[in-house]
Amino acid sequence: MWAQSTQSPPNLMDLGLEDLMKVEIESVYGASGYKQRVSDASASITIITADEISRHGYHTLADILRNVPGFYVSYDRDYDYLGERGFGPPGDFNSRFLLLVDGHRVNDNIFDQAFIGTDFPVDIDLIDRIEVIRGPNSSLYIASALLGVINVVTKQVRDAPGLTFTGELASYGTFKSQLTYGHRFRNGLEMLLSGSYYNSHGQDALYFPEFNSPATNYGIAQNADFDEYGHFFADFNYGHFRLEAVYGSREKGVPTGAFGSVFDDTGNHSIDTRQYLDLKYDRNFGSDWGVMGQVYIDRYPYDQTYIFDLSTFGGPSRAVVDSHGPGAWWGAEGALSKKLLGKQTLVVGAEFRDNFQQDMGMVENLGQTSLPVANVQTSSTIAGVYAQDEISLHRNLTLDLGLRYDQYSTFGGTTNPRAALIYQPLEKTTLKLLYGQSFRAPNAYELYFQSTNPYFQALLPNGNPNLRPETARTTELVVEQDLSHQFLFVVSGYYYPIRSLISAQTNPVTGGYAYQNSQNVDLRGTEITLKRQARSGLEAGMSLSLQDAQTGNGEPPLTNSPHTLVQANLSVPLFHRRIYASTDIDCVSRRSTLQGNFAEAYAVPNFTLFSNAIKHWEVSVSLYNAFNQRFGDPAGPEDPEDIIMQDGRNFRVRFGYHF
Amino acid sequence: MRTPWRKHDEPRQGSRGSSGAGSAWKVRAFRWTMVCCVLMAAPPHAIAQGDNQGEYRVKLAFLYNFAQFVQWPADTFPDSGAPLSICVAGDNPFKGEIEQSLSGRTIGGHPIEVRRLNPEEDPHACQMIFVRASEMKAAPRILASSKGSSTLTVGEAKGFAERGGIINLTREENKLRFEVNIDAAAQTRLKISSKLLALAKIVKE
Repeated sequence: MWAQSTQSPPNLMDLGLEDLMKVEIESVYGASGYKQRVSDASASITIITADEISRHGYHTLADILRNVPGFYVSYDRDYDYLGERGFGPPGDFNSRFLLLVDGHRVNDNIFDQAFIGTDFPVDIDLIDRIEVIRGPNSSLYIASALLGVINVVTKQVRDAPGLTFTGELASYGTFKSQLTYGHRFRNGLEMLLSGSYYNSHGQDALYFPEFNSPATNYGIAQNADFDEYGHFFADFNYGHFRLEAVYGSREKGVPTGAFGSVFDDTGNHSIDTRQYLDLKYDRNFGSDWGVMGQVYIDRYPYDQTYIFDLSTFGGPSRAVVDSHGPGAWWGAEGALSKKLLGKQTLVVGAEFRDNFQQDMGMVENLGQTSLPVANVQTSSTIAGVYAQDEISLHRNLTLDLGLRYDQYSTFGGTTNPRAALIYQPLEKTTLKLLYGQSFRAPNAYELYFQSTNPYFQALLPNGNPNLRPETARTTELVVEQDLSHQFLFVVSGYYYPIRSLISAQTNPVTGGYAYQNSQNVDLRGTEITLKRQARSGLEAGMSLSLQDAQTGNGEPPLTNSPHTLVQANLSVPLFHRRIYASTDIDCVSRRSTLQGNFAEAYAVPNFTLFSNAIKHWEVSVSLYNAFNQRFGDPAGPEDPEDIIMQDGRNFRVRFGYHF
Repeated sequence: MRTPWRKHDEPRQGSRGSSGAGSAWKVRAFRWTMVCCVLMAAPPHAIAQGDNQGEYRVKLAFLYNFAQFVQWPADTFPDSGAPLSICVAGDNPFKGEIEQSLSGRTIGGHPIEVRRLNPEEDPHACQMIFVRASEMKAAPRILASSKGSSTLTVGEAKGFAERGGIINLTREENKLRFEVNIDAAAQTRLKISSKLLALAKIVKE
């Protein structure tokens, strides 16, 4: 059968679009090199499409990202933390990643947090595709892109016309419902509206051995894992304009006794709300000129509530302490692109952001009265200019140069270049040599937070206005080889020296506890990926990441840094594509923890059956952590635990009805 | 208050270490890797040497692919076995052997029929119209009549999509690319998959 299939008359009709785009129409023989449009990009990119999301039953951005080669995720039952290429300090708030929705920055302006869990303000069902760009991109995107960029592209009216209702039921008392309506008016205006509500009771009882004593309910946190969110999304397209409005608010119970709060008290919770309006203008003049403009206004009201027992300090035994923002900002960006002589594409642009409100307050509620324990109000501005030139040096050689200068009101100026060389020596081989410099500006919290109360001063790190940005200079070599059409083999090797990482440190002389530029880390590693996309609809991918993170002399080794990741996924069409059976597995080698233990290696497979064969309907059934593997993630410094156990076997049923 | 608090220095009861739960993970990972390997190794549909494929052989394969990523309203077809018609405005370049390559293939159960568009014929009878470069003069008339219908218009000449065609095949060096005019698509009753759009160059009028 094998011999037969290779000898049978070849048929172009068996090829998918991506393969057809590689066929050289003047050549007589076979398909040319595997060159996706992605492979033209001057970066190491992975794209995840809406199809993959539904076929695999991914329910958060974190679920999707943990299947991207080189990425891993840990969860402290409040936030999801993204690690990449062996770098994922527990309890950092993903501030080294830039998270974009349709080009709009989602990271807030106080913690620079990238929200990738249930706190991501846009519904997963609205995602058309996600572009994950590894490595720094400070030369085109503003700050926070020290380690990578995650750009979420939402669906448009053409993807979701009419009215669609989706409902979900899942383990731990979870349900979700969503209503989406898309319409194109006669005058050309396109409108997409969507609203959703999610409510999860969470695990009834979570056991944390650290609290196993009679005073703390033998380590059992009851009904403290709740999770609830509401989303609203509106997108209007008219001519060259696009207006998007996003609102997402999530409340999550914090069952871990984080920050030394009272354990097994359902009052501990965090609320994160992201809202923004974004107006874009995008137009091409002739085939040579392009112009892009964007203005936006953003808000990030957050409210973290923790219950403290202050009786030993003469205070109440159940003091409610609220930490709150908000952060608010507006910004604008403009860019021009021009094709020169058909050989170069030049882009120049400028960007300005005004963080007019960066409030960090803390209040201790004492029954009738309340006592402020922190009241920081600050503001800042960022201005940047950039240029990028893509030069076609030769038929099979492209050079991409980028340069960006940013002026921060907080620390001053920084210049970051980027260069990429893309070479296609053979039809089926693409080489990319990538170099980039990038930075992460210290966030408002690291710079300015300061409590007025001695108790909290001693417990919380103090801001340090003299912080410098973290920097990285990254070099990466990517080789893409088309083994036969349908198969793509990618190998990449990288070296990321990261300097001046910011972390909270105790001064050995003064005993003061504050943020410092202290740590240096060198990331080295390699990723090997094999992908298959068959004409039959079968999709498979497998990747192996070997990663090594070394800290500087005399510095403690990096925690939550696995040496090996194995990620595999497979989606098989059954019954003439009426049903898709999909599985993905995520294997992470053991990771050291802050207290010097190890979170053991794990391999967690998920299974999903998906069908849209029945007219109007879309149905999927998912089983996550199918073999009920017990595994835990390293905890952050705010958690009294060292390892936080993750969910066991759980399921989800999802259905959609399109009217 | 989401920043590291200083760890409490209270002594912990017993050493916790790891749960030991991951002891079998290597076996499982290996097993899964093997399963994936076997599935990935299923025979590919390799192109053997000696295939003399012309430009239109590839273009017809594109059309066939487009048809799979486009959803026509059910009422487009008179019955479930009715053919999906690809009508060519201008000379039909897909005759003979090229058309044979489609034999036995169906789209959603509909066999595919390739034929020339008769000038007097109602273009609505075609699910897809391929407008030859030579017929660009007639394009405005064809495009106007396809608005609000469920006919996918595909061209092969520069500016076809900008003038209101839905898909246009273009050449970049010696490979084929395609553009999609999403505004034109939205004016029809067709539903175009995001997978198709992800590979397309999006153009506006």
